[in-house]
Amino acid sequence: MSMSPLFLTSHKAYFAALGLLLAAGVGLCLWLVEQGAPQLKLGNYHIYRCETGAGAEREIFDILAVSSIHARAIADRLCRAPAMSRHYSAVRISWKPRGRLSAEEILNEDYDLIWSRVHTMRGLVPEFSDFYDTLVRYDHYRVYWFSRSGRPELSREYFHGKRIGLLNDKLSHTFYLLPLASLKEIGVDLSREKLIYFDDAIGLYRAFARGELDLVSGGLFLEKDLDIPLHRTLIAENATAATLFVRKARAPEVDCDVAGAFDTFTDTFINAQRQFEGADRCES
Amino acid sequence: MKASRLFLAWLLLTALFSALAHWQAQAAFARDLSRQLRAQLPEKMTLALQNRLGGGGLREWIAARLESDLDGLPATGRLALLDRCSAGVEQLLSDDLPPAPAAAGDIVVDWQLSGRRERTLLSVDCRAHWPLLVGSQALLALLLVALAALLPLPLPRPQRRQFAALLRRGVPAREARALSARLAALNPPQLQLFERLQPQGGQPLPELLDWLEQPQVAALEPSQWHWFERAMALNGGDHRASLISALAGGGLEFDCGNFRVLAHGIPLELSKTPFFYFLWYARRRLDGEGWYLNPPVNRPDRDSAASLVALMEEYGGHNKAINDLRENGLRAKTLDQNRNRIRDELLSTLGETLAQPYLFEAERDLKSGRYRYRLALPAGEIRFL
Repeated sequence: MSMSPLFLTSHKAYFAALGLLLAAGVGLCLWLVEQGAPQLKLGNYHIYRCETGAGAEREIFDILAVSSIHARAIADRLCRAPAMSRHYSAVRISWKPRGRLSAEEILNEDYDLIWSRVHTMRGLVPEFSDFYDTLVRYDHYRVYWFSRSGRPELSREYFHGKRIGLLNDKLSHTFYLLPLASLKEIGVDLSREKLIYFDDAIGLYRAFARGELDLVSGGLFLEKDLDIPLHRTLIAENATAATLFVRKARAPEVDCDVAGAFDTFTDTFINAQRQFEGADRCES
Repeated sequence: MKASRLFLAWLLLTALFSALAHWQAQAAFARDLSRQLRAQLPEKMTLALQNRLGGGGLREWIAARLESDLDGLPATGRLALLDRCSAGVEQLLSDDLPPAPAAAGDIVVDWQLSGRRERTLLSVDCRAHWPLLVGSQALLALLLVALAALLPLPLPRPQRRQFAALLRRGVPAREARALSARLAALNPPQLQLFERLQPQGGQPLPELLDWLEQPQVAALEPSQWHWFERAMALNGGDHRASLISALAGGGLEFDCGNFRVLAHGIPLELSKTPFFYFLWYARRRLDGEGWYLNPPVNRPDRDSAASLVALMEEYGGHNKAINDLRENGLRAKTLDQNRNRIRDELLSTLGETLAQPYLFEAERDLKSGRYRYRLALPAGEIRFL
């Protein structure tokens, strides 16, 4: 059946045809001008690198830090150290989560310097000391109870009814072992109190910052991180904060610079006692 | 359609398509980039931010790194409309989720950090190759305008009616379309004529229209229309001849050689003798008032008979009539008879209304009590061939 010639002369048909034509034109335009982005390859934003200025033929000094705090400042300071530039062309520091350190990385000696704890390293590679030396040990690390309203009291009455935040990580000294030990010591009945567990420290501190928790444990770094008025009471002052493990196959001349760089920047928030056996070889 | 209109439409469409193309190119690029960022960015951000709530310039540093990774990206496509694109970080992370962005180049990446929703906002900005962009859209617009110009235009309502009527009469569509345009241009009298003549058939419609479109037909006055109708009725529907009659000047034309009288171009059927009486009255009308008083019954008018005889002899009248006039003079009875024959012919040919100006008028002479007669038509409207 063909369309009536009369229908084709109507305004309705004419404007419908114009509309269809325009729609086809718009469709063609949209199709024709479609653009795509190139294959994207983002860099790693948990890795900072600086050049010592020694030229590209030397090795890179790789550091695994446990936190991004001061990581870039430590690397920059090392890059400026003369001893560093004599042996390395660049310093690369990574602050990926500590759970991501693998046994293969230790066995491969991927890092020249690892910020960790003995029990963590041993848990991954029992004979890790075949590849890594202990450079500096930070002992007597202080852990506190923090509250946003008034100084925490170490008494059963004070803790009664308070919302207490902990990390769901039974290996964590700061967020699990030490605070629970503190509660037991003053006789708090853990089954009757409100203990709230978090999967990671950020979630824990965010809840605290929002006022969803009354008490959390932590080091002095918390005061810098949260940047809100806090009150604290000491839980323990002899915790092991961290150990710097250094690759046996390193250039030993850089030890003093590495220890110095970490000292400078960790001092402000770790408040731990430093044990550096090679310190006598360094200029003061 | 007018060329200037098409040109304007082309310009407008070019502008419209260029704007659309620029928007779409950038939006499509941003969509593709967004897809890739959604796949890659959350993992990168989680690694970089895991142990840290922020501060210490870390966010700024990550934002700067991300921006340098997203700087100067080449775009790919069927047309190389975009030169280089760069994305700026509007917001690296925030757990307050702003409303969805509206601009073509905006990118939203939602991800999770420690069980909380985070939103990263980026904004893509591309440098366009304007000459290629506008040029390609101008071509597209040109194609569209050309196609639109090929579309048959819709017909105005009157023309559409004519078109429909022609189709009903079985005229092929193409011809009907052309004819309907011509018909729509006709004035009401022309259309009336068309309606009157068309059903008779016999002649092709285009020829009929050619004839109808003549200026004289278009300018037919209502008075002429009556004459046309009368002529059509008399000549058996010959519209060409009828038009000539209708357009002919008013008045009487005496063709003495053929004994013919034309009233407004329409021939009257008069036999010779009434013709000469008509001619005789007409000539009298040219001299002054033109009245002629019927002679008394007992005293026929010899002088007037002589002038009538002279006319008849000049143009070849019947001998019988000539002899009668010579013997008996001009009698009132003969005059009345012939005037009546003329009157009857005028009425039967032209009809009551049209015949009116060509009839005789009569006046009673108060002194003698007799009637006098003359042609009602003014002298100026009487012609002799």
